[in-house]
Amino acid sequence: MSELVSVVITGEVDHGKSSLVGKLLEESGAISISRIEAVKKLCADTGKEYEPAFLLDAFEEEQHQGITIDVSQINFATKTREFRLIDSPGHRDFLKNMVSGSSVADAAILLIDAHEGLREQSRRHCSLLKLLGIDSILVVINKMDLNKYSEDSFRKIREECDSFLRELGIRVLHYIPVSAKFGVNISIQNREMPWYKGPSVLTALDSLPLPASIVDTPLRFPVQDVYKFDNRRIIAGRIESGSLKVGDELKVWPSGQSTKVASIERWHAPEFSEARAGESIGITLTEQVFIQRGDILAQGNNIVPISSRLEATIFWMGKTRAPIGAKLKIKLLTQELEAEIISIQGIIDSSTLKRTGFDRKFVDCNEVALVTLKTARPIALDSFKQIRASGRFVLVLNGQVTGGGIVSAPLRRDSDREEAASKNKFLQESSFRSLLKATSWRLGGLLSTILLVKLFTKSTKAALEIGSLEVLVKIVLYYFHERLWNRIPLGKQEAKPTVIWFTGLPCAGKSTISEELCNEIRRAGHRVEHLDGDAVREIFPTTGFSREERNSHIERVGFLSSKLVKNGVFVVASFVSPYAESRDFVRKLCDSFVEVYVSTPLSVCEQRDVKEMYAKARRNEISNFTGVSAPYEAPVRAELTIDASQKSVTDCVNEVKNYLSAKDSNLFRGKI
Amino acid sequence: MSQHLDELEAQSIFIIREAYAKFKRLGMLWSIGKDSTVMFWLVRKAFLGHCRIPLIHIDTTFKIPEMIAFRDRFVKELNIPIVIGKNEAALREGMNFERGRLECCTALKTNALQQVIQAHSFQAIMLGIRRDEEGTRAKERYFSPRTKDFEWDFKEQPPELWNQFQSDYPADIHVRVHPLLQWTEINIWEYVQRENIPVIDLYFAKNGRRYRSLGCAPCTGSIESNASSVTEIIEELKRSKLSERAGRAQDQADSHAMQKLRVKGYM
Repeated sequence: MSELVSVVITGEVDHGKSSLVGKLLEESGAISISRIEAVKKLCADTGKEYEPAFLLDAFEEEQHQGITIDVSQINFATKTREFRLIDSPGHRDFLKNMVSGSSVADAAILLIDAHEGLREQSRRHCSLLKLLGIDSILVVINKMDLNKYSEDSFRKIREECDSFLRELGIRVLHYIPVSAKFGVNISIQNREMPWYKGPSVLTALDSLPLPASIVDTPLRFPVQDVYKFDNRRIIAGRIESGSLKVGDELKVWPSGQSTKVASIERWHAPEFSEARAGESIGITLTEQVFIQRGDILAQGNNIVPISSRLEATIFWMGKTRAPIGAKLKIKLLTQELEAEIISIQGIIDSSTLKRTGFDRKFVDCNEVALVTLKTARPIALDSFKQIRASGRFVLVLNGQVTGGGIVSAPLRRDSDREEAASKNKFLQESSFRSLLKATSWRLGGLLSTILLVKLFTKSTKAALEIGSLEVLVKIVLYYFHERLWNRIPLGKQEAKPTVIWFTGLPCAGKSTISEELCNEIRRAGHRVEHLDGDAVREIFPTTGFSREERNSHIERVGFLSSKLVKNGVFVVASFVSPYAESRDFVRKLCDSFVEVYVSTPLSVCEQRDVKEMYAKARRNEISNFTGVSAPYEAPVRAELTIDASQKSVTDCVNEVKNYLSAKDSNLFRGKI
Repeated sequence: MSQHLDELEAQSIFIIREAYAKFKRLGMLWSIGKDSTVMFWLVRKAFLGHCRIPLIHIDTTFKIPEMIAFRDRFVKELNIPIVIGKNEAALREGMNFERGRLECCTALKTNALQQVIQAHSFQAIMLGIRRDEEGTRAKERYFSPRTKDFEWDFKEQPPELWNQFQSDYPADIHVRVHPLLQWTEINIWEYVQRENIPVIDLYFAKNGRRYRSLGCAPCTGSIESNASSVTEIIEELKRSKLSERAGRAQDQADSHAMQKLRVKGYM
């Protein structure tokens, strides 16, 4: 009895759940023979046909032997394992109860009536099971006795289930034809179905593969609390996955600070310098970093994605709907943040698995939906596929836990960019608006001239003549006046062309920021050229990625930039340019050089991974990839450092603009 | 089995720490019995030997005298804070079990607890109840809200999944926290044995009788037993057919108390 396996049973009302459980209890020996005899006798006396389901009542009476029984749970043991059977009720309000029970299950039994086949409620349950992370199940096909144990009916249901479950991504370990009532294929294989070669239900349960060990996954140690005992700061929490030992370098997320495990604290327990998934421990750290409830500790070489946007599949259990924009709270491990649904990508019909409701503005009770969530601050998380504990969350509305969800992916920042762009539209004037403004100004001036003349001369004719004359004269005057002043050097200042060099990890946001900056400089009336790493490499595709090749590539671009600047052209360059020596070379070459270090953390860059280069690098499909398999030497004297994960593109561009304006006030003074 | 105990222990510590992080005013009910003593032990595990949560003992004045002696010794030796709750008014007025067991329990236990909660404005109370004890306890959640009048709406309980417990409540709601919910009676004794936790010796057989469950002297009966050590108790429990609370009179006092769990469907 070393392990306890939780198994959730799902099936429609009348498909024989009680009979199956009764028979399992009877044949596993969980219920005493005298009890069974008593029930059988009672049946005989009252003229009822004996049903294993009646054993459950007897079992309830026997619960006081120390066997747990609950509205939804029943414990029993075989020779090798201890089981907790969890009922998933079939009534309308199923979601809340089913989710509470099934969220702790290791495996599931899907019970189907051989006559009825896979019905809607079972389909719904299965898709929720999948959502909760149960991806292998046993399918038990009951009431085979009513079908004369025919292989055909079994086959038919198996095919029906197969296509549905395969689409869902659930693996069926065994299809087991049984008769719970007559105890066929419950604990031993009976002779009724010689065509069936698989295991009985109990044998299958005994050989259920246990969920993959969470010790081997990367460390996630969420901080529950920080205690100060005896002048020591103890970080308390439970290891949700992976392991840690004294001396390990850890990083605190989402802040990204580094620290080291000084000790592992337990009370009244054998001292052990390692702690593993599942353990509730305390640790002390060698370096005192700012740490609080909600932070997640991971091994130093492992990056926990952080994002304030996540794509998720959620199930909504609340009686009130979850509309887009409603104030929610997300609880993921010990993190708690305000959040809102910003878009709904569809509602999943859990019985057909079809996606509908693309234009929906809310998620209704008992619905499963694909949504994008936005959190008030960046949150540390994983996709559910990678690490379960940090890839699932609950949603709280008005203090009530009303939703749960799993993270499909922390979102890349592309949508941030779109949002910034849409805001920008209102800031910049279209030429049409500009023309309208100029016209209204001229018309206003004209009208006021006419009115003034009329006021002083009392002559409408004179007023109209002077008015129309004024329009023409002003235009001619303006033309000559501009040309005249162009010839006068007095007080004339020009912006000094500069090379603005963006450096940083791949996907840090260099190209986006520099492109936008380029537009700004152009709008300010200067000549400007944008040189982008990818574009240059496209022209010279044979350029390699070794240190030497990267250096000479940068040096060539630097040379070109210096020539452009000499001829009055601003240069905005965006290159990974990982090595300090080549960047310094370019700096010396150019008269005016501004280095902008885009310091977006590796984790965020990797998350964005627009061209999936990081993924390829991680799989070793490409080598010498900066940040993964090649170093990046962060600049030590960059004029400007910008973390693009913390700001919108517009803010980043404005920061560069402000710096450049401070350096040269003529740059963004604008056209006359 | 020890792996299973480790899991139970880690889960209980996790719950205790969650409760401590969530509720500024948190107390734990200590009945002097084995369960709440194990809970107290787990609190010390959670706070690495310290006891950060005050004990609350509801004294009906009818407790078995040895229990009070044990309580006072235990508290003094370990130097831990304790709040003792008594429904003085009801006692003065002469409440006792002869007026009806349920009435007596309500006045001297439930109402006394209510008074303590109000007097100390506790937001949450930890209790050492277990699912396997009796029917209504089986339906409990780890974090279970109660209204000001102690009402428990078991049909509308918050979902508990992935160890996320609902903890935001208005001020007039208090939360019962149940760190031992998943433990069984045998688990408790196995843990007492493993950790060598001091328990009151009323549990060990003397002259062929011992207490399996402790309460007030008039309403608590002992059982026939020769189990005089923890090991023997575990042996005995594995063989026993009787309910743990069979010796508790109030369970039999009313048909509702004893009523079998009625479950929709089958379980």
